[in-house]
Amino acid sequence: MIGNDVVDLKAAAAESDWSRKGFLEKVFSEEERELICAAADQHQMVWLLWSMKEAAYKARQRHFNLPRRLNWQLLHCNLEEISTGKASGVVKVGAEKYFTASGITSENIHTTARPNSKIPLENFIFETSSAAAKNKLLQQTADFHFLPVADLHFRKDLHGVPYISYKNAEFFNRFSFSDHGRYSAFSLSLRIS
Amino acid sequence: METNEIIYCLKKIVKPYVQNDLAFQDFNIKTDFTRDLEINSAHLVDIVLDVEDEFNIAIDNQAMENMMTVGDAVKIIKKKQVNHDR
Repeated sequence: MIGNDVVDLKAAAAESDWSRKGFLEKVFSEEERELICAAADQHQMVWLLWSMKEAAYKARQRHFNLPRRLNWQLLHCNLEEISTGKASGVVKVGAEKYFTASGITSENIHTTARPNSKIPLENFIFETSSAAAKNKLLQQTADFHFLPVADLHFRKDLHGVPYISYKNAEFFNRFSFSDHGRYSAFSLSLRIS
Repeated sequence: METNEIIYCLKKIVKPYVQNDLAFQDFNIKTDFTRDLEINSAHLVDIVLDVEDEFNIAIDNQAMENMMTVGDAVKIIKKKQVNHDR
């Protein structure tokens, strides 16, 4: 089960002050805060770790059909590799593991998370409205299954987790959708592993 | 503090983070921070911190976990304030 999260780094800088008193302590463990403290680009590190947690949270929520919960400290980031333009790691929740891969530019960070790194995954990021990106997601899903896109709809279940319906019945849920600031992004796994 | 006073304070706290103004006009005990007001998750951290400052309470992770609606926040604030007054 897949989770993703996109962060518009400029929007984040404009609207969220992570240096305010208590912010980092609410979200990050001591080890994670040390990573941020030691990073050459602290803003990037804050939002990289944030997007890892958000993506893993969504993957887990979908995986176990969980209600929403606000507890960022439940998810522990292990950043394994970070280089120009990308990062990878593992987010742990108790004994569960979610493998994350992030794409990093000067403008945005997009992270995907999955419980098994063999789950096939395609990522798409757009500088369009959320509605336009949802239409692209529906179109791709329709094309893959040879269905008319008009019969597919983007919906959310009672826990707020999105799925695609076909003729008003749940049809496809191996994807994740995220938007922030200028960006909308989705990850999907059309082929079954 | 009475429930309606707390709701009044919460409305002021939440206002700068709201993305759905129509839902904000109907701000009530059932209003959901993300579903109705479309507040992004990073701003939920700000709201928790603002509530702590405004009401002079500490919200631990366990209490924070279930803070999805205005009613949830009211419940948490009232519980912490009782502890405070003792």
